Amino acid sequence: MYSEKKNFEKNQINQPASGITRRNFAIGAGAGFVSLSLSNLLFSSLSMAAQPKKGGKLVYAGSYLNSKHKSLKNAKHPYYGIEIRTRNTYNALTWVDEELNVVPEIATDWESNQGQDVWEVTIREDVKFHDGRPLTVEDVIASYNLHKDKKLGTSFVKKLVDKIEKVSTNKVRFFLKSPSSEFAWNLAEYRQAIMPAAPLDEMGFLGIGSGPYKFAKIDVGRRVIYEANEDYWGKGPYLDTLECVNLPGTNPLNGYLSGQFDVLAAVDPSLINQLSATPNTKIDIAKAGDQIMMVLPKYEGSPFMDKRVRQALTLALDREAIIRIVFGGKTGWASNDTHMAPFNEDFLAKEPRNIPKAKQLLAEAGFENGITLPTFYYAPYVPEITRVLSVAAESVKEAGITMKIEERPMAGYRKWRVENKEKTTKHRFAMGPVGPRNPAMNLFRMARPTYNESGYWHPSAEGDRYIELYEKAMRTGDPIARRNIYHDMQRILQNDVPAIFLTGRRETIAFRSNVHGLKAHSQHWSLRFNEVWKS
Amino acid sequence: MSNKSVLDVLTHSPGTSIGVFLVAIHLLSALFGFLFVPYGPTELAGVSLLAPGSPGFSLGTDVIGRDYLTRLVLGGRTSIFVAMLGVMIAVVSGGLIGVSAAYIGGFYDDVIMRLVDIKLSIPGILFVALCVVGFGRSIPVLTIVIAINYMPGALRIIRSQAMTQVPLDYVKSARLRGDSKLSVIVRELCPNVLEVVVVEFAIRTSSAILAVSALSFLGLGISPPTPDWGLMVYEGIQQIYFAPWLVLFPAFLISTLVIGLNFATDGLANALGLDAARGLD
Repeated sequence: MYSEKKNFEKNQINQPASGITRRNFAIGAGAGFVSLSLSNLLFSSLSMAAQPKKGGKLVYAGSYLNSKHKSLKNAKHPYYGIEIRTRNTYNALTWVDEELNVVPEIATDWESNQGQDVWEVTIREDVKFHDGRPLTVEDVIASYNLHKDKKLGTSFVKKLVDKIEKVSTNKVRFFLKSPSSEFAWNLAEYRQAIMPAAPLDEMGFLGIGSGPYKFAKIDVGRRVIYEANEDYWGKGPYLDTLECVNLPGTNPLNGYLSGQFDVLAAVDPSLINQLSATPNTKIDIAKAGDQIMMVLPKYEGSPFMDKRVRQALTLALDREAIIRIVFGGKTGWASNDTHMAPFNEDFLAKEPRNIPKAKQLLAEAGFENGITLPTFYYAPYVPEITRVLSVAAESVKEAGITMKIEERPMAGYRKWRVENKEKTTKHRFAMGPVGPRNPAMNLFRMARPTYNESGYWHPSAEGDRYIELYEKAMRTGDPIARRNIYHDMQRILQNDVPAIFLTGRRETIAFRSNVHGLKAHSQHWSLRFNEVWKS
Repeated sequence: MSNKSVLDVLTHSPGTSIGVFLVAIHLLSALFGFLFVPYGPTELAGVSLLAPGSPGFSLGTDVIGRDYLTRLVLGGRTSIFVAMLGVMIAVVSGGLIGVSAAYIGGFYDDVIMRLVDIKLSIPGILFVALCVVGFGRSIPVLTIVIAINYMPGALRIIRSQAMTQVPLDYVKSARLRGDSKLSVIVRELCPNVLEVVVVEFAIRTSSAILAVSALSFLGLGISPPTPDWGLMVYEGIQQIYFAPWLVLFPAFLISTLVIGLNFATDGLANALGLDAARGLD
């Protein structure tokens, strides 16, 4: 190219002052042809970038293994999916998009009565299951009968839904046990899949959904291969094959760097800068992600029975240091001692770190010379967890608090951390991962005094007041009025500190530059691949 | 062999000298290193992932900005302590039981040796890992588990040495004098198997250090944020493509300590006229 250009310039300089020689005409025509060809090529590639291409295979790797994905018998069931990413094969009535809005999926519309306890949901009529059967109102009713079943169902629906009935060929009515002004968010939960009607104990095991991909092959606990559902009602799918690989530790990263995988999920924040500099790699960071909850067990003999100790601990934690050091200032956020995340408009920032006040509270509680807390246990739910807790443990030293940390294996962790299974209040001082949701669902978790993952309340007036406020919010249709109630609820949590919420992560994915249409999602279980394609 | 000749062998064999030197350096660093390190082992002193040679951080910083030199100097302390204490308990208790089994014999010996066979049939690292998962990752748990793991092997070797001593005249004399069994075991047999006990201790300590490091690497050993070489390799492995020194430095230190211990043990065994090359049970 360089020599051609040089010759062209030389010829221009040497050309006669008058007229165009045959040689110059030939060169000019050639150059014009080359320019046209190049521009054509360029514009065609640009148009290719905008136009999804069909075909190909995409492999994504992560380490979010659903501990219930244990056998071939249940591996296709929406409750036991390998990574709780049921959205490849199943649809729910609604979906939470990347901007954290609740949007239609199988439902096109939803409406509640004045009391917020009866909801009518209109469903799409152009949806087919993977076996070719049309999805009907009867399937929605059967699916929710499973979800609300006392023995087999899902926690949200069991607690919320009393009854569901058919209104017309495209409309169902939900009767709730108690009002829920944000019920549409509940409908988006990952286990609330719509499946073909069948006896309850058989539903879901065949893996037939209405999602963009169908099950093709399962290697239990390690890998699932999906193939495209050509009859999908929505956009896409564009890929022929989608493969989900679940591997522990550094294996996903190694596989990605060696070219085995196209997408690396749940990227360790310490690797973001390096991965950004890796050739042909794009990084996408979601608005939020899981946060770390510290359950403060409250039973006789526990230091956390004293509110001042709980308050001192949260005031001593240096959340800003964690965000700066572990998340490079970019991919982490400071929690506010509730289940809320900052993307929630109703998020109420908490009182900043205050070491003198923490020391004073400890002194008032009888720990003038500092306090040694029980060992704090955690499991490696996210790759940066040890670093987050190391910085946390170091930061509280300044207030005279010694907090030893100890990692436990993932296997069996959830059960292990409750010391006394009969009595959930006998819980270890241990972490729980919390996924980001809307205010109603976030604050709902704290409205259950015995729910052991929620940093339950020791019986107290504040706890009763909190539950009253929650019930009021759920009866309130007006979002502005609800927001005020949510603020009051958060103030109670921040003052009483039934649990500590440390920091949250922003879900980050890394993928090859030839992968298009993929966006990181704050709820890693809501990530969808129907509009993803490869060039 | 006299003490002089033991010292001669230790100082005249280049391999042994190197081994003793390496072990001495590591022990001194573990014991007194805290006096010379520039920062606290968990102190967040700098920014993350500074390369070696950065101002104020001669060996750089780890992924959350802790001084890597400090953590390396202090990183052997816990492993060495756990391994040495655990193996000492294993060798002393195994030695006493082994000598008593050799002397008493009969049913008692049979029961002891079958229990040893059962324990030796379980892979060591698996046994330790299972115990740590069940009872937690605390230092007392690790120490006791290491002791239990290494006791049967030491017991068998020491028992076989004691078996060679039991028929000798000095043991018969003690028995004819009317000494109690305990007295014969403690006063006559134990001093005569001491050389084997010393070599057993040295050999098994190097193996135990590797085991503790391996456990930490697997996330089952020493808990963060305590500095530990195995744990540091585990923590650095995520960054191996971008900051390989995070893995190389602690791996180098583990290797030098284990090589040093092995060289020193070989020399010691030779000096004592024993065969250290028979390997671990």
